Amino acid sequence: MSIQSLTPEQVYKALHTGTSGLDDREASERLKTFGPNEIRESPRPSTFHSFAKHLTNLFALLLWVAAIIAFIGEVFKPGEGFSILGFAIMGVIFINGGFAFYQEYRAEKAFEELKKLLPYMVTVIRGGKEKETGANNIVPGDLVLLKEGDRIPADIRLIESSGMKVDNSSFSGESKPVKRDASSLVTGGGQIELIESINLIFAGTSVVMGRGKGVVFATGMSTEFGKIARLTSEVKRGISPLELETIRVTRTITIIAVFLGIIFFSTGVFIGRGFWENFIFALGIVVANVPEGLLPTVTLSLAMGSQRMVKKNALVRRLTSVETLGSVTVICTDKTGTLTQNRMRVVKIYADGLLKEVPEREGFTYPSIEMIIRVSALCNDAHMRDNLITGDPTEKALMEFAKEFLDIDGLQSSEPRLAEHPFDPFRKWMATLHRKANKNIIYVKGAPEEVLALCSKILLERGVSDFDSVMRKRSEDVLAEMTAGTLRVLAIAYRECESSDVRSTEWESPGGLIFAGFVGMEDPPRPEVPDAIKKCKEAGIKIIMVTGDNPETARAVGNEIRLFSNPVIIKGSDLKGMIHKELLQILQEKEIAFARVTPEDKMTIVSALKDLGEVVAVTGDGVNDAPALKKADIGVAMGITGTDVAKEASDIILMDDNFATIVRAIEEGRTVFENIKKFTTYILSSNIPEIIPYIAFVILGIPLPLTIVQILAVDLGTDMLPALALGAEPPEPDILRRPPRSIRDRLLSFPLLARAYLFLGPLEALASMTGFFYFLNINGWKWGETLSPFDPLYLKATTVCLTGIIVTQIANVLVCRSRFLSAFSLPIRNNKLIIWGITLEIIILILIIYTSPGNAIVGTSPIPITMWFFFIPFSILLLGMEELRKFIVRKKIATRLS
Amino acid sequence: MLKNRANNNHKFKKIIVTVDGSFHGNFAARYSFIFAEAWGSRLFVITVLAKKMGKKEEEDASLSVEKILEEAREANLDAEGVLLAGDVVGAINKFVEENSIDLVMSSTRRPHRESRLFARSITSTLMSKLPCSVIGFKITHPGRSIKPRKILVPVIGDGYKDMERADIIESFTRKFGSEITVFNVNELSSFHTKRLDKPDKDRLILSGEKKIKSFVDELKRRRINITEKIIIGKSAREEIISEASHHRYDLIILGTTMRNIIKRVVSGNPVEEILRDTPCDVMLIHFK
Repeated sequence: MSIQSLTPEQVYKALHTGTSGLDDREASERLKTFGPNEIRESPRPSTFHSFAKHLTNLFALLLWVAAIIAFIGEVFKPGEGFSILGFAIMGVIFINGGFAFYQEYRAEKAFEELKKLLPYMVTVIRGGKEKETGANNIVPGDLVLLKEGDRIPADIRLIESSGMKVDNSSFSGESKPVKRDASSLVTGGGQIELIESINLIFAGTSVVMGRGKGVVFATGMSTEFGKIARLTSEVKRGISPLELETIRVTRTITIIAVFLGIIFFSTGVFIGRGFWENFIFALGIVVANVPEGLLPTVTLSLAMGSQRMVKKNALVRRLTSVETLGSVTVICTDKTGTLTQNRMRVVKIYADGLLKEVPEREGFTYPSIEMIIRVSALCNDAHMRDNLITGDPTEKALMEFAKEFLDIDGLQSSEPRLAEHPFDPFRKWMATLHRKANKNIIYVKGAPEEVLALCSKILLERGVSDFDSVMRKRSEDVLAEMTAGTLRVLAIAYRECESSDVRSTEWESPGGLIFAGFVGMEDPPRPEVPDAIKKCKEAGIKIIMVTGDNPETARAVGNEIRLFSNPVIIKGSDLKGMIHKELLQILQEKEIAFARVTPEDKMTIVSALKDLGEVVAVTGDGVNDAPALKKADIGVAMGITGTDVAKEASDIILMDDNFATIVRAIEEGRTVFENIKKFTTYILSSNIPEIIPYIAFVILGIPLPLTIVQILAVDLGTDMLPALALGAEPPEPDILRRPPRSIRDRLLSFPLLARAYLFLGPLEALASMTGFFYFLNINGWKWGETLSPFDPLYLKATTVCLTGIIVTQIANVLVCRSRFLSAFSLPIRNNKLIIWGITLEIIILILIIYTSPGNAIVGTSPIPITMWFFFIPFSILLLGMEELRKFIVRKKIATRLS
Repeated sequence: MLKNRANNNHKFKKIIVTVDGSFHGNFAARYSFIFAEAWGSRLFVITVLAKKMGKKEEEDASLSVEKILEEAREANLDAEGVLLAGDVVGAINKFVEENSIDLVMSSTRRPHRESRLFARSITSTLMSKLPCSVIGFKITHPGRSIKPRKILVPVIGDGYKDMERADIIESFTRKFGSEITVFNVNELSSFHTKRLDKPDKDRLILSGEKKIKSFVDELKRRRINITEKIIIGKSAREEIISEASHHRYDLIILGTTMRNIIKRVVSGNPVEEILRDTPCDVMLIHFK
């Protein structure tokens, strides 16, 4: 037997309690056994721990070792600038750690929002006495008293109740209060979900009307609410595709850097160079290989991407989500309010054997139609104040419809409501009892199949007739016709009632009703949705509709918005009985929708999709959507209709609740990844002119052309702003016509590395090294001559080398705007940040070269302005060579396509 | 007090259930009825009056034995009440040896986050010291304990005591028509999990299916309808708790082996964590 099907006496026995409740000793014992009645968040790392993690990853450890060696160098070779180097490297560690932390950090507040739904104090009966106690002291077996306005502290089996209605929206998403009744035993045992049982109430919900007494049968994390809390707090958000790539890139680069450092250090030792020369060399190779500015640039680029998304009505709550959106392969979307406008209106009615459009007024004086209008106004929980109607969208639509024909206030006064059976998702109808003149009348509206089963007569123009098989068949045919469209259909019925006693059988179990007709309502699709769906299809993104509506409505809406033509539609009840393998199989169908599903089913669908290797975005608004929102790669909460819990559990909030906004955000996400590739090429290119000076230093025995601090000045100074400007490049026109990025696609692909390291980088190295030698030569330096690190000529020569890198990087930023398209075909007005980036890059260089602090920090010295112009031909060469490469690539692509 | 029934040929002919007057002890006793009925076993309802117990506690424990016996009689079971005295584990051990007991069932309290209580609990000690098989219960959700309809059976897939486990499961399916999910977790780091594509996942799922095949075959041989679920996840503990929370299971049946002290220190004890965090009742089975 299940708890909901036991009598009160059996409940007491099963839970070892009684009408006097538990005594304090037993309650205390049970508290030890079951623990406090509270929801506990699974432990998470502290902010400090999260930050420290980024200071101790492989990349950071490498830099720590380099910094420590630099400080050791200062001890053994004071005055050589090792301490400045050590501090500079530590600065790099903290800057990178800080940016990585910022990228990943998001305050987790979903759990805090959940906690707010539980009460602090509760009234219990213990040892036969009523007392107030902390809600966290409640144990299974406790007898709890509840009244209107109380939040429910635990899962409770009602023993007594009076007119009790609870707000179950945190579980069912149903915004209307539902009736709860202690005297009803739920038959059908375990086949009925606990949540649907009329004699059970749950933690996290609240009493909106009436009062009751019940026995606690689950507390804390064992309650249904606790399960939502657990899933919300424990579902670990996996690593985003970008985080995965960042880890891979930094690991690869770190390994390459260490490997090269060791090789070149060993070579130096082998050819007989001094330890400290070798040491500087190895350290230089390591620092030059590591793109110190990459992570900060990625982070800032994501931040800029999130700002652009806000302008498109998508609020990003976690930076890496910006890029993850671009990898999305499946979107599981709600229907109502997301694909449709959530503006329900009555468009058709069926009465007197005829289906009529609502604007049509002919025949609206028929008794059956009059009755439909009357029931729509009276059997309705929407409220009208100052001509403004508030309430559930369905109720509002009916009230608005009735308002066109009736004085609703007058009608409600002339036919006061005596009692009601609120809508119950289990029973699927609502009824109200009214006093009309000297009679009592019951009005009913609800799911057609349920209401028709209660009708024995039908109201026609000529009066009330038997609801015979012919009329019934005709009604069912029309119903099928109406639901085959996008209509949501309700049946309307009524009957007179002998008694006004709410305990009468006539009222308690209304039967023998008179069928008045059907009302067909429509929630029109959002006009921009069909186009957004088309874009998704072109982008290789599968859309799965997940709706609480019936399969027919899901099919009709899906067809109307051109989401599908012949989908497989799975009902929630079928999903529950489905084994995991079957679900995986079904999810591979081309067109699929889920109807009559609960938010809980969403998590099952999302988990299965992730098992199939999909990158999943899911929409949600209710409290119990939170676990699915956390489980998905991208949780999308509704900004207008969403609960705070859903918003806190999400990655992105749609400020307009609109599906088309998701598609716009995906376009932005894809653009972000493309742009990351662009500036990665740009940043990696400068590694070669940073490495070559060190190789030349060892092999050719020349003065070191570029110091380690100067490398850092490029990586963390001049390169950053142009790189950021590349991060703001607008979407390429075909970005949504490409398939989603595969998890096997690498940021550091061979073509990208080859372009940066084997093509653009060597051209820059050629420029900077030529400038370095040219400047030394014109100033009287002879081959083989050594220069002190403080020699003015040496300082100027290294400054020339640095200038060479930066001037050629200016040309590089222009060519990196596209992998294939000519730089001249991309108007600079499309991305004005490029101009700003270049301008600021030049200003930074001027500050480094021509100011005393710049000279002191970076180890530079002012150089003649003519040396700047020396590098312009090299920039033009780089531009020309890259244009030639792009031209050849475009030709090849065109040949392949033709 | 004793009601002898026909001898049976089942491995677990004599079962002890320990009670102490507590709420969870009584719930555990009701679980023992299921097995005694299914296997036709003789049930010994035992309480041990320890020296440190007060008079009230002794009374409660004795009353509890009476109450459980009454319920057993109503269920037409062959049951006997026994009061022992002294050290709990020692007294039960002696009784087990003297009466050739096959199975001992005991409940365990909720382990606290702060201390790994199960490792030091009486049930844990019974599992390690007794010469017979032991089943431990942790009651978490009394509302669902009455009739476990959905049962989760996590298995490592080592072929460990498949027959005995199947006996336990069969008792529930026969009595309640319970739905059984055999659950296996293929543990991988989240870094590697994220990099798996569909063929990789299919391969891992296939290997998981092979691992649990002998157990699944045994259940199918008994005509028990089951659902197999192979999951690729970071930690078995997290996946089991998540599955139990999401799909609202009533009971988890978990096999346990005694981990040595080094393993406990190094990697913790997943059983402890599941006992502590699971939202439904847990049955720990330790066969010998």
